[in-house]
Amino acid sequence: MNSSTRDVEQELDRISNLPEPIRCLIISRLPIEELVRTSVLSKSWHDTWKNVPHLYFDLTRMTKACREPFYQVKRNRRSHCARNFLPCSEQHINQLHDAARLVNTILNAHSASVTSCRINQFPIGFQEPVESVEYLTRIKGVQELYLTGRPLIRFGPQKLKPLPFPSWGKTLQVLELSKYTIKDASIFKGCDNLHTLRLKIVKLGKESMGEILTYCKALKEISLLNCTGIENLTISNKNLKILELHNISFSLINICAENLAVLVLGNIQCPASCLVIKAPAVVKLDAFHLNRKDCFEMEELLSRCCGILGSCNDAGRPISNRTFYISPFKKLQMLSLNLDLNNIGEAIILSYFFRECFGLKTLKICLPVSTPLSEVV
Amino acid sequence: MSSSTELTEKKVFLLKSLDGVIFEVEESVAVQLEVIRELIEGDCARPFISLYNVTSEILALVIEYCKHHAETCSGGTSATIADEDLKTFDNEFMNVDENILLELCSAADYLDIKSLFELTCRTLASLIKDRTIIEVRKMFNVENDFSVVEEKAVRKEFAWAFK
Repeated sequence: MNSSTRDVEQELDRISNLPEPIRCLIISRLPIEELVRTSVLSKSWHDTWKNVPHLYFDLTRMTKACREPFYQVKRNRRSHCARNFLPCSEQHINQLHDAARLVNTILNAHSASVTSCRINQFPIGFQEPVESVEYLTRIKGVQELYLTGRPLIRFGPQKLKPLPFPSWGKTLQVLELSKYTIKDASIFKGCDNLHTLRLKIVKLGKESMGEILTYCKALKEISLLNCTGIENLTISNKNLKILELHNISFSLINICAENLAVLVLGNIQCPASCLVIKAPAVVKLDAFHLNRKDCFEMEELLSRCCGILGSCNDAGRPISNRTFYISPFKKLQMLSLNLDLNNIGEAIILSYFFRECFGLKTLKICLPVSTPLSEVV
Repeated sequence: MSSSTELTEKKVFLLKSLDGVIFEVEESVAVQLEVIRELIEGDCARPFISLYNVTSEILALVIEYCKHHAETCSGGTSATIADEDLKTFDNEFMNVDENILLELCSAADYLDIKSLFELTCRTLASLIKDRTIIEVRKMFNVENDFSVVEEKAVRKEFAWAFK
């Protein structure tokens, strides 16, 4: 190839020559402000962003005004006076309104339907976000929605009372909520197609979780992380495939899921006698605790999971009455635990898994993070 | 009995690029190309397949990618090690200039290799991210066909995004 053809090739505008759907998929990974900016690249790019199927908003990036209070909170956290709300001037409130309004303007300008949408630092205290969510679920037919809240804002002496979300609608398949309060579960009415629900740092009403589960019958994956307010978790769902629970304390767990394949119990607190797991199809089990003290409870939980607790004496040794005992984990292939194998009581747990799970292929054991002896005693 | 099945020759496919270069690939690699997998499943795969939209330079890269992914996934290594290995490979593989990236992207779309398409899109987006419009235009040789007035108007429409 001679140099002149190489030069011509070099000057080809290959990116603009790509078919528009491909261009859309490339730029759909950009945050909204950069996405909108592509409209000035050239005439052929002017409307490209309007057909992008995935949208990603971060209110802290969208306007300078939103950035400031956010960092203020971060600073507060560092100086150990973290609060759930932050005092805010009227000016800040107005700027937040503006940013929230921008989301609506963009959604209106955008012309295609939206497959997935992520909005970070999205306050629900105002009218605009409620409108956005409504627009996304009703008109844009959004299938995957990821929303993260922001610290509640205190205006003068009063805390802004968050407005409830509008209901989610039929098109929604994946919903992830972080840092919100859900008191009224009726917003989940009609979520017939929701198959994945992830709640992170969500404050729930006492009955909310149960109600959500009765509304969302098609759920295949549930993940609850650092949620508060759920006391009793009762799941009875044949469709459920994946269940992840992290850093939550329950007073009762009752899981009946015939087809559950993956179960993660991370740092869960629950009285062992109130834990019932009927999940004969579990292939992967992850159970761990972060500190040593809780580990004893974990031991009890695990023994319970294995169905052996009722027949144990004080030393953790089973009395051999094994005829009534059915292992819930016959199909287990991957097991990951944190156990101290020097402790006979914990080592016994492992021996049960070995005895019962013939299909075990992968085993991962971590020693729990050790705490000073005095605390353990 | 088992040894005889092992001895049977692995099925090979010949892929012909736009500029007429022929590549020989094993079935395990060829099935990574969704277009070819569909042909095989529909029983319409002939041993000789012409790919009209891909140059030999790009097809060689695509085959390298598929080979590595096929080998790593079928090898006996554990899932986590394989994952790490693929990640480093992918990172190095993406260390090419923008033009090659764009061609890989459209080839991955044409041949329907989802992971490669995803990878190239992500890499291209990261090239655009945090760059000014002028820098992006220069990088991809995008000709600005707006007049000054027109561009001003477009910028004004979404003024907040340009602050």
